[in-house]
Amino acid sequence: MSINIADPMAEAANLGAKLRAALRLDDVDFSDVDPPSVLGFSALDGLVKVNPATLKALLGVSAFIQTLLNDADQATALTTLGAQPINVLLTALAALTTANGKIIKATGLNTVAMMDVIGTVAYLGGVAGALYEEGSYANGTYIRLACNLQICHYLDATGQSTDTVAGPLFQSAAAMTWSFPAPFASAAVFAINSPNALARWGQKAAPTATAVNFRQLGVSNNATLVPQHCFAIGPWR
Amino acid sequence: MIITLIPQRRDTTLVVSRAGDTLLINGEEFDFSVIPDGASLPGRAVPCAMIEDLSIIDRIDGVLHLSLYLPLGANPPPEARFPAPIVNPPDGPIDLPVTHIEPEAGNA
Repeated sequence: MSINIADPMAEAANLGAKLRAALRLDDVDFSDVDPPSVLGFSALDGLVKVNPATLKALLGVSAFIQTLLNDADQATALTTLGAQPINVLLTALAALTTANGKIIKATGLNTVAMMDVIGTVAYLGGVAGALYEEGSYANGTYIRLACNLQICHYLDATGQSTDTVAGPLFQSAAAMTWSFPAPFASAAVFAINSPNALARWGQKAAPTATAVNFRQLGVSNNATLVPQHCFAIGPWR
Repeated sequence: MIITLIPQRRDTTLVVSRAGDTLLINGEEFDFSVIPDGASLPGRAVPCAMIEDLSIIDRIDGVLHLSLYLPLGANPPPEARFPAPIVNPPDGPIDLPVTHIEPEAGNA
């Protein structure tokens, strides 16, 4: 393409016409001519004198975004958008991947991590595993809490009799050893057996960290095997 | 010999093999031939973490009865949580239930 440098203004108008055709600006209504210097090319008459309202409409700028375009500063723009300023904690939260059965825990100032609600409980100067752990075995169920409490329960469906003289009362001939489904930290554990019958109650020998011996006591010599609930509660770490 | 397995949440493992009345439990040998027929031995007499102090080892009609803890880690399968007794295992390593299932990849 040659440029007629003898008449730069005519050449500019010529280029402007070509540009108009390329941009299909002839379809735009330029009748409402705005400040000719809006783009700093007042010499290119006709190309730059675009009606701002028409241009916004052409670009698909919504009425809402137009209210953002004239915001003076970031704070005003954030308010217009209803957005929160950049925040270290929010950024850390945004980096997490959530999953079913998990919750978010703080691991320090502005640091977060996902953790299991149910899973293996661990405590290493802080909650290092799940919030609580549970298990159901042949010898009962247990729930272990991160706060250092553990509860074991077992329904002894076989039960025990009270057919052996024990002073003025009667007791089970042999002890029933209940091994806890999960061990405690020490023998400092509260254990109790509760028979499912009137005039029967439980008695125990000193437990270990892992088991306890139960017998039943009764007011009468009774060979009936009475099922019983067994509980043990204590610290696990 | 009848071995009752007692499941218990522990971070240890159990490896047992038999040679007659002797059991090799986690590398330590325990000879139960000293228990005569009709007699019993308190568990606390056996210095083994896998035998409960309060349990009783006895020989009834010539058959040795004892119980061993089956240590369970996280996510044990049902056959470990409700283990069947081991009756007259042959000499050599004793088959124990699998006590831990590796979580599926990507599920950790």
